[in-house]
Amino acid sequence: MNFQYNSPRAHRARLRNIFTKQVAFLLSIAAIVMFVSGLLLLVVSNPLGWLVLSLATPFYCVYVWQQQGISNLPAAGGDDLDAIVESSVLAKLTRQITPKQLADAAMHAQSAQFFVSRFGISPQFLRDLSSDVPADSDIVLAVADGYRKELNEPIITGGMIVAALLVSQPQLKQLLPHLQLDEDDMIAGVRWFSRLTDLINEEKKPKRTGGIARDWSFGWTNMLNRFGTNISDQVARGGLLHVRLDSHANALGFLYDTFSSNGRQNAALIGPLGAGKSTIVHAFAESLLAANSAISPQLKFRQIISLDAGAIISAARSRSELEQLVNQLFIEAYHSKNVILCLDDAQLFLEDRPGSVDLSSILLPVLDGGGLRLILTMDEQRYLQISQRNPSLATLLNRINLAPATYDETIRVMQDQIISVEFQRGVTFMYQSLKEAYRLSERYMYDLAQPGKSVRLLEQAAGYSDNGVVTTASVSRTIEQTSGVKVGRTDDVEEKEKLLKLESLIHERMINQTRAVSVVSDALRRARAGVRNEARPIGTFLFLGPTGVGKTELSKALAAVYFGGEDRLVRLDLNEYVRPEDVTRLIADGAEDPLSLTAQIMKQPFSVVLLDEIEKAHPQVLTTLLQLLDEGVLRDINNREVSFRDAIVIATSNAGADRIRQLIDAGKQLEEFEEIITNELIDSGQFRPEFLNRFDEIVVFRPLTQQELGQVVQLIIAGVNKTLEPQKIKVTLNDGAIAKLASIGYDPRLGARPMRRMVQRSVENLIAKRLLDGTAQAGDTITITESDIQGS
Amino acid sequence: MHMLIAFFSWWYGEGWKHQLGQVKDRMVGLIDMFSIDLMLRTLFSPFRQISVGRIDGPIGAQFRAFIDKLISRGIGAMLRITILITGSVTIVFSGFIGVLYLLVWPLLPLAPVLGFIMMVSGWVPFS
Repeated sequence: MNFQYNSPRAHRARLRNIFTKQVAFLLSIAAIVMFVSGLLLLVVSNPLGWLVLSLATPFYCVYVWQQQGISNLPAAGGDDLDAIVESSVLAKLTRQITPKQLADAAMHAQSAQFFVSRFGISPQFLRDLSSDVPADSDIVLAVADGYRKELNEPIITGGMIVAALLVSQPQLKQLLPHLQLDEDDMIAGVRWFSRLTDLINEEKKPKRTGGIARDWSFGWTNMLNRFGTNISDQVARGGLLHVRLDSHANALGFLYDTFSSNGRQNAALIGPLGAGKSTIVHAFAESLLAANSAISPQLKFRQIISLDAGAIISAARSRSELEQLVNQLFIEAYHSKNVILCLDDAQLFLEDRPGSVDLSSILLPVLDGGGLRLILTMDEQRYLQISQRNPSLATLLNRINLAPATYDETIRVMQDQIISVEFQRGVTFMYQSLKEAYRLSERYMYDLAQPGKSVRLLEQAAGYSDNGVVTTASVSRTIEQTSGVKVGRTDDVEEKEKLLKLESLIHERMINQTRAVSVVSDALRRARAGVRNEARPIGTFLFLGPTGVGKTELSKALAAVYFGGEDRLVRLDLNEYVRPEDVTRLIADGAEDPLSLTAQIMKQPFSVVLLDEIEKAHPQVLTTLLQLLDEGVLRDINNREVSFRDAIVIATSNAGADRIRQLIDAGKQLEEFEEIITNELIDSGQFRPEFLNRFDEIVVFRPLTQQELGQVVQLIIAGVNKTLEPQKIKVTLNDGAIAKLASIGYDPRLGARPMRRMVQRSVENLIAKRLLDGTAQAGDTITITESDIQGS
Repeated sequence: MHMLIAFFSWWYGEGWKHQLGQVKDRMVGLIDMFSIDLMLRTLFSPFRQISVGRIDGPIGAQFRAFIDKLISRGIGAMLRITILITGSVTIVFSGFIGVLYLLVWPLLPLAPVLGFIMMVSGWVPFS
């Protein structure tokens, strides 16, 4: 790209270096002083005043020139660099351009400062890692010019140069992955600044709002003002920011057509919460107020008033009074001739529930008559329910469907919306935090659609900023605080240590089953080190083995040791899901069944999911669980995608227990027969192969030996000692007592399960008696021998 | 030298054009503020819709409604004409100031010469 250092535009740009803001300020002061002094001299009849007065004009002229003619030069004709580069950058360019020099010069532009602050790049770093070779600048400028052309901009901005440096300078390019960025993000950053500049320029343009007599031909709306919110007024005052999205263009077009034609004057915006229904209404209101827009005169200056269901209901003492009030509001809207009524969350006017009222009997004739302009907004589910109850209402509505925003649209909405959040909260959002907000909100927020949930998450993340900067870590922390999920990679030393020692921590609670403990621990370590497949649960395991060998205990231990407590265990006994219709209970709405699997995971995504006795579940239930095991998601009854991707899913089964015992008795090692057992389970038809294949690992638990049972007894006694600690009493068992308890506490059918009951009966009863008869006192150690144990 | 050329070429080129644009914007803003076109289109519309509107009923009631509407239209027309006159005067005055500013613009850099002549002439307005 050619660069003419001495072109007129380059000369003018360099004047910025002389006429700085400080100089401009001094010029304005000098002009005022001269003008006032000249006038004073004339007042005291001194003709010198004319000269002094007139000398104010050169200062004034130069000041005006600085403000309007130097600060922002438009592009000149041609493709030379000096003709199309931003004037603040051009002012700093020397004859010999190198990438390093470009980095220096670019940083004088607001666009570049915006870029580096949003992407977390240090200007010094940018400069130091840029090359000193003049020839390299050609590539940088070619990339920057590519951005200019792609964005259809007349000027190469400082931001474009910074982005070009980052993608074309090898050392800087290596930096991008560390900053969680790629080349596409560079153009997104440039586009962001360009959009904000457009928005600011749009704001600066004089508004044409119809003037003082705009509403003189329309009626008063006193009651509507009392029971509603004038959206048009709010938009005109600039209180409601909105973003025009491509996906909204169709809906807006439909609104124009509907209200410009002679058909039924209503529109029902149907879409999930957060998809932008209100935003469309705001955009529509704004366009109606723009006097210079190309909309039909029938619609120009019409105002949108949103009725407040709560205020209306609370103002009426009886149903008849309520109906009368609503009628009056409709009549006032009709007579005013310029009001479009908006029933936001229209179900509040169409259902008899606390805080809402069914006014369909009043609405139906209004909708049928078509004289009153109405906009209704509702979510899909409610619309279907209301349509089912009142089909004639659905027939009368002109329905517009609104889908959730796409990734690109959501990012654009966030870019525009965060500006007001930044202003209100005094924070700065990094670009990476926007991407993270989209990713995490998609995964962990269920009740809102995009872009609403991403924006909500970012607003919350403002409270977790680091020194006023909202980073990806701030967004992760927000999710961690609100849902308890650990979303980021672990940087915490304590947690790292816990992960590395996970096996020994679990073994403090359970005996042996080392292979099971090890596969589960490995899965967690992979997850927290960020090397797992994020599109699946942390781990999916099928534990096979006889009852009472520690399958459930391992799940509990894992929940307690790593997930933060045994309450992090979501346990489902699948012997209660034996009928096909039980699938509904599995995925029921949390409002109706808080214990359904999906409801529990929505509340607590970071959990251990224990599917006990899976072999007893109905095949349809197992089919439903396939998606959970495979993709880590399950759709609930409302078709919301519930994520299990932060859970460990453990299914347990007694199937094949006798065979396991048989093989163990025959002296086989676990590793030798795991595959045999799996094959036999498939051959016997107890599990379908596609179901078993979904598990990461199938782990066989072996029956406990007498020695291990003794260790279990000691674990239980350790628990008893913990309970007795406040009373300063300690219990010990001699070897004979341990052996006897291990022997009588073991049941071939129930494994070690009766052990706890047996210890309670034998040991705890004994301690209780000794405490009561005074033979044991605080500070004592009670030793229990074989003869103290009841039973044979 | 470069600086002087740059200044004068802007002052008598882009700068002058820019002022013209600003004067034009101000005029359009004033026309919008006084709702001139809107008031002309709705000159005889009932003011704030203060009338009972069209009613069916005995001829007497219809006549009263007609009179009612006529009064509303009359009030509306009076108010609109008042604003139209006020607005027109303001717009014409503002236009005059704008044109004057545009005419004085090229003379501003020469003001010190005029000031010097006036000083030499010795005339002062407050003697």
